[in-house]
This record gives sequence, structure tokens and C-alpha cells, in this order.
Amino acid sequence: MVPRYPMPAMTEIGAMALTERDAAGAADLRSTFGFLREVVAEMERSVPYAAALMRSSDGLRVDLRDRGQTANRLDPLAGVVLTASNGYSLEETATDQTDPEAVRAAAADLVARVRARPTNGSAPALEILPEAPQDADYATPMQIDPASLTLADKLARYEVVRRQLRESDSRAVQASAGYGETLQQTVFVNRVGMVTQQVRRTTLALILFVSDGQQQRYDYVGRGGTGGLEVIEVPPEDLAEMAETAVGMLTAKPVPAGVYDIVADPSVSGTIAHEAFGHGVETDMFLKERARAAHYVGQRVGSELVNIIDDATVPGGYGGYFIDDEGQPASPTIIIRDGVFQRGLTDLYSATRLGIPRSANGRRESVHRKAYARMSNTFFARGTNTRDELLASLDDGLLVCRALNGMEDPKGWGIQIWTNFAREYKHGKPTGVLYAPVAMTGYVPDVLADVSMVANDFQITPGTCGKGWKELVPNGSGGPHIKTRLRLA
Amino acid sequence: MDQRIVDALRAHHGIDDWILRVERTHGVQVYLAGSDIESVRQVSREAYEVEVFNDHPAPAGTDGPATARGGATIPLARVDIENLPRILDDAVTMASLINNPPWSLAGAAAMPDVALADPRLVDAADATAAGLEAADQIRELAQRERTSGVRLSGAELFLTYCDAEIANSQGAEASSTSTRILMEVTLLARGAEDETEYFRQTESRQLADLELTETIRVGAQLARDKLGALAPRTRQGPVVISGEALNQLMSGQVTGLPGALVFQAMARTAYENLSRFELGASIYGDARPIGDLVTMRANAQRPFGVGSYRWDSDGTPAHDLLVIEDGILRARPATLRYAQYLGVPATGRPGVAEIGLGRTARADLLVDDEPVLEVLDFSAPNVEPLTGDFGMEIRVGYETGKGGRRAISGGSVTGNLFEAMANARFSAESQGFAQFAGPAAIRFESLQVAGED
Repeated sequence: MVPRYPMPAMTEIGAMALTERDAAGAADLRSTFGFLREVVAEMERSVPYAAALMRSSDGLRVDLRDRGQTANRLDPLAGVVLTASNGYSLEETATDQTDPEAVRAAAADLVARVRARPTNGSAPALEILPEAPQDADYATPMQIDPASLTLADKLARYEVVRRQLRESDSRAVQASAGYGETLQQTVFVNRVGMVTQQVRRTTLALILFVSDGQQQRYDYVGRGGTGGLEVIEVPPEDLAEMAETAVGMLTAKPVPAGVYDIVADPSVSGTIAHEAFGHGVETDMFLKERARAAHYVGQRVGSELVNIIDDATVPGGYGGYFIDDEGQPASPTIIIRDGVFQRGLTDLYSATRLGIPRSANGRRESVHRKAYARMSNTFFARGTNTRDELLASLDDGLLVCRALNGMEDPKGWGIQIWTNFAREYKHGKPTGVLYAPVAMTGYVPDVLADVSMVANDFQITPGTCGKGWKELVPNGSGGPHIKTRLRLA
Repeated sequence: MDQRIVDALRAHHGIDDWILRVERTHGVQVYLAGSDIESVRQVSREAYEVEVFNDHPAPAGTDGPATARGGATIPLARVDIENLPRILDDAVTMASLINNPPWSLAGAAAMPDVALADPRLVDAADATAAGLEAADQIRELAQRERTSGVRLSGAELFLTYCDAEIANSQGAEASSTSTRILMEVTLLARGAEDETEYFRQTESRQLADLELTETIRVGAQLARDKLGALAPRTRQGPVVISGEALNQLMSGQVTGLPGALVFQAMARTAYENLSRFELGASIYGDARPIGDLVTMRANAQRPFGVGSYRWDSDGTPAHDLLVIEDGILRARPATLRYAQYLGVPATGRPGVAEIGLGRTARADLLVDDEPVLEVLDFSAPNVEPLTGDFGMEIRVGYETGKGGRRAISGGSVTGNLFEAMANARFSAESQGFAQFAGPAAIRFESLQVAGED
């Protein structure tokens, strides 16, 4: 089965012409950080592998509430990380000093440290053969550049939306609108090339808080992705549905504990993909023997309807990029094809140690943190049924909506997902009963084996993903609505 | 303090007030994959942040004062310092568009001495040596567990030293030094047919507080016990939550917000109409509490507490604040701005949540006619601070009854923290974590357990 989802080939992205502004940005990055080529070459006179990554961010975060507003610049977190291997382990130095003299001094210190380090006892040799990158410049395409609006325009635009939400019901006690825009600039250099990328992300989170005097509830709409203002447009009907749901949750009941047929909305199906066969196939987990999936390559792990993909090149996907933080060009990775586990997601170190081809999943929270194998945009591929067909098939089940968070257990293959609410369906029709909140737990192979229908819709939702509870990176998850069975409480 | 920045802030006509914060950090990060060193990283950073305030007429049609105060927080990269005039112009433009009720900065104040730094981590070379030494100790401790089928999967140690300074336009000035350690360790246990893991991420300010020997010993035990563990029975009933699981219930680790009790008590939460607590009233609402009543302090002066500090981001001195006494809300932890809005004392960002102990021995919390579920570790902390609702998967627990004790893993415990606290008993024994210190265990009389039917 060929996965069905919008996915341009990498060559198309590479061939995309940069706008005049992005081309100027790329030229500036090449001019300012061109010296990193010499730094890497100098380091490699003394060590078998060296690389340099410059990363800087800039951005704006606006938060609007009743009687409270903020507008803040995001932390630029600018710096250079230098990587060197002594043939057995990787060592790094990260500095926020980006001028050539300081970087050269840091590189010399790093090389001296690496050469002095014992070759790690029993550890086998680490032979890193950089296959990428080629010389290239990339930038996120945008339809509506956030810079086309002044800050005053943005404040006014999202305050109107917020007020509309706040005034939607007499039981509303607070409404918030959070707007964010970021530009992340990267220069990666190793012995085979120099790549620049300018990734732009835009986000909008709207939350409505309601109270009946006894208890409080909320519902939210989150939009975001790589791109401009076009990725955060919220249709009025979504706002109306959010307001209705928030108020409805005041009379919602806890879901009776049990195993249910469920239809998961894209935020929930994406979280299932993310937690079930996302974290569990990050190959640094293979190296540490934490991932049960390592023993299942080529084996069936779900129904034939299950196709799970990680793809940093999905247009607009919030977790998108063009090269990872170790210089690997992005391309789609099919994790599960027709229910059979294909391969994991790699960083440089684990791919080299395991002797497997790299995927573009080496990501850092910032230059101050090391790269790990991390997801980008992870999702179920589209199926053939309509969403309505999935719902009509629920004889006695739930439509589970608005994932809030999840947690993986790559060793035990347990899964925990917390969602905001679920709607009851009987004989294919909504009963009007709302359950909130909903905790879902399950055993991953059972959850994937029970996937019985996959819809042909598709939505990537923005989020932030941690490794454990740290190393936060922008991440997309989603896909279509899916039907499966899970334990709810 | 960088005088160039101070001078630029003072000279700008559009800035009515300002705060300058500086942090100089250096540290070492040691990564183990199995027992091998995967990577050693040295990290340093000098971070500046200015917060500027602009007072301007409130927009027409606004209720309240005629003047509005706008603020903008601008973190600076090193290169930004060369472009300070332009950046401050932008910051003032941002602040002039923001409309908040006026509030004022505080002037110079005496800051308490709070122990925050491990002297072993002050020097970068010493910190690197200490990090590698701790990694060796983890390897040795894990090696000792090999005879019982437990091995090290990986570990990470981040040791960071920080020099911080703050100054503001009202004359406040202070500095502090602190250290912070983050440790992550994963152990694997091998059984006849299966493998299980123990994962722990913990933070401290002193190396000694990592308690490596105890952490590895307990972790190995939990990983071993998880082999062959069963899911719990589905039921509504008593659940004892202890150890790390109780920390997960009381802390706010995933959302970045404080724990639910602290969140509900905070002045900001009240100002935003989101607090269910009222000053002087029972935190249990209309419910009549049974069992032990909650007493909670927000202690930012707790020695070597991860949530402790000398001064917060407004320059407010650290407080040790009695927040809840015998179930009654006595004070709201209030940062400067929200303290002024609500007319309560400014006590700064909440520190470590310290919950008073009970009188029942931990072992006695498990005594019952029916088997009692005790949870020691959830998969992840997951408590909604707004509603108090929680639902967490059981990583490791035990069901204790007349038939003995069996290990539990899988399934979930769900409930509402505020309702559950109204019928709970606290252990007499204590424990401490980064953001929470209090009983070693709490018995909740009625929580939903979902597992095997």
C-alpha cells in the first residue's frame, strides 16, 4: 500500500527558489559564518571527524487575556556548537560567542580535550563517514509573511478573536490568545559541505475558560506550523464549536472505566503515532536497549491499515525543517508500512554505532544541548474511509478529541494519552453525552492491531516534544481520524 | 552588571521603568550509553534580558485607571549589545502597544541568604571532574546489580553553575550564585521472557542530594519487581500514592506550571478569575474533609531547594510563606505585579511546595480489609492545575493485602486532586524533591483504578 498523504519529494524543496529576502539572509549567513569551513578543516587535521553548527533564533510571543497583556521577544539562544570525535566518542563545546576568534579558540580547546581523552575502555571504534550535506540554502515558503503586519495590527487582530470568544457565553470567565512567530537560522558545516536554512514557524493558541460557580473547564484551539499567518487561520465555526464544547464540559461526566471502541481525532491519532511508534523507534533508545521495537524490524506490529510516517518535509508541518541539526537532509521515513515495522529514526551517533542508514532526525533543543534522535512530524498515513463512515460504524463508542499530552514507554510498550473530552456515539449517532477528561492507556501492539478503519482526512497539529521531560523541540503530529480500541478512565 | 546596557536603559526617554537581568552559566554534560561515555559537552553562556516599561494613556473606553503600563521582555544575544539603541527602540514600541493596569517596581531591599550552590561545581574543571566521577559511580553501582539481572541502559548528568545579577530603575540591585544538577538514569531488568526498565529524572542543587546509592538500589528493585507485574483490578477505592508517584501528583513537571495546589493559591490565578480557592476559606469548598487537613508552605528559602532563590525575576526577596493551614487558604503567593493588583503582600514566585506531615506510619496506610493499591511510579505527571483532574498510567505499584504483596504495572489511576485531598491521610515519614517536599505517602480513600475487568 502506498502511503497517502501530501508529501513533496526533497528534490522539489531543494529546487524551490528563495525569495529575495531569504536569499539575502542565506548570503549573510554564508558570509558571516563562512569561517566555520576553515575551523572544521583545521579540527580534522587532528581528529577523525569534526563539524560545526551555528544556530540562532528570533521571534515574538504575544499573550492576551482579560486585564493582562504581554509581548516578549523570544530568547535568541544564538551560539555555535563544535563537535569532534576521537574515534570512540563524540565531544562537543557549545558557546554563545560566535565571532571567528572565539570559535577558533573553542575549537582548539575541544581538539586538545578530545585528543587527551582516553579511548573509552571497551567501547568499539566510532567511524563517522559524513554522507551529507551538499552545499545548499533553504528557507520556509510563506503565503502571508508575519512581517507584513505590524505588532499593533497583530495585537488588534487577535484581541478581536479573543474578545469574540470571551463574549460567546455568560459562563465564560477568561479567554486567552497566544500568538507566536519564530525564525530559526542554522548553518551546518562538515568536510563535505555547508548548508544554511531559515525555518519560520507561526502559532496561535486560543483558550476559553468557563465556570458554573462550582467548577471550571476549558477548551482550546491550537494552530501552527512552518509558514506564515496562513497556517494559523481559525474558521469561525471552530471558535463556535470550542465555546459550545467548553460550556458542555461543565456538565460532562467522568468516563466509566473500561475498554471502548473509539474514533480518535487527528490530534489524538497523531499522539498515538507519536507515543507508540515515534519515541519507541528513536534509535538512541535502540542503542541503550530501551526500545522493544528494536527486536521487531520487519515484523507485523499493527493491522494492515497502519502506516506511520515521520516527515520533516510535510508542507506546513510544525516540526518541519530541511536539514537536521547534524546536517542530514530531510526526507520522509516510513516507520510502519501496512502494519510491518520498517525502520527507526536516527541521530548521527546511534546510526553510526548501529550501522544503519541515517534519517534526518538528529535534533537539538538549542546549541546548549546535544543532538538526540527525535521526531519531526509523525502521523498515520491517510486511509480510504470518510470520517463520517468511521463515526457511523461506532455502535457503542466514543469520539475522543483534543489530545493534551502523552507519554511513551518504549520498553514496556505501554501508552498513556490525556485528552480534553470524548463524545458518546451509539448506533452511529452522537448521543449528546460528553465525557471529560479522558485518560487513555493501552498496550501498543493491541492498540495498533485494533486499528480497523482509517479516514481520508489529514491534519497535522503543532506541539512541543520532550525526550523524557526535557529537550523540548517543535513537533508535529496528526494524520487522519482512526478507529481502534483503548482502555479509558 | 554591564554598564553599557544600564546607561542605554537610563538614557532612553520612552522607558519609564526597567529591569536588567544577567546570567553567566558554565557547565558540563556527561552522557552514558550503556556503560560507555557517549559524549561529554562543555557549555557556557552569558545571557542578558531587559524588561522595559512604558506608561501611556489607557485606550479610550477602557475601564479603570487613565494610565496604562506596557511591558516588553527582550532577551539579548551577545551580538545584540552592539545594536542596543535600535533594540531598545523596538522594545519601547512593543511596550507602548501593551495595556495593563499600572503597577510599580520595588526599590532596594535586603535579600535573604539562601544556600543554593555546591562548592564542588563552581570551577569549570572541578565540575567536569565531578561529573565524570559521578558517572563512574553510577556505572559501579549498576555493575553491582548485574548479579540480580539489572544493568545500566544509560545516564545523563548536567552540572551547571550560574552567577546571576539583577538591577532595576528603582535602585534595586542583587546578585546570587547557584548550582543545578540534572540527572537521568535508566536501568534495565532482564527476566526469563521479558525485560523492564526503571527511568528516573531528578534535579538537585548539590551532588550529594542525588543520593546515587539509594537511587540505583531502589531503581533496580523496582525494575526487577516490574518483571511479571500484572495490571490492577478495575475498581473505585483506596489508593496509596508514595515516593516518586506522589511527587508526580504534587509537582507540575509537564506543563511548566506549578503543582495544582500552588497554582490555585497564586495571586495571578485569582486575578485571572481562574482560582477556586478564596482567602480565609476552606480549600475543600463545600466538601467536609475527612482525614488529615492540608497545611502547605511555599518556601523559596529552603536550603538547596531547586525551587529556592534569593530573589525572583522582579527582584522580590525570597519568602517562606504559609499558604494553606489546616485546609484554610491563609495567603496567596504573589509576584510583585499581581500583589499590587490584588492588594496583598508581594512574596515573589512560589518556592518549594512543602506539605505538612500526618500522624500515620506509612506502613499503616496500607492496612485494610481489602487489598490496597500502592503506586510508587507513574509514567508521567499529569494533573490539570485548573480543574485538579488527573489520570496517570501506573509504571510500578504493589497491591498489598492478606494474601501478600504483588507487583502491579499498567492501567491507570484517575481522579480529581482537590476532591481526593478531602478524604486522605498523610504519612508521618517525609521525603523531598525538586519542587515538592512532604509526606512519603498519602492514602486517598476513593480513586478510580482502571485495569483488568
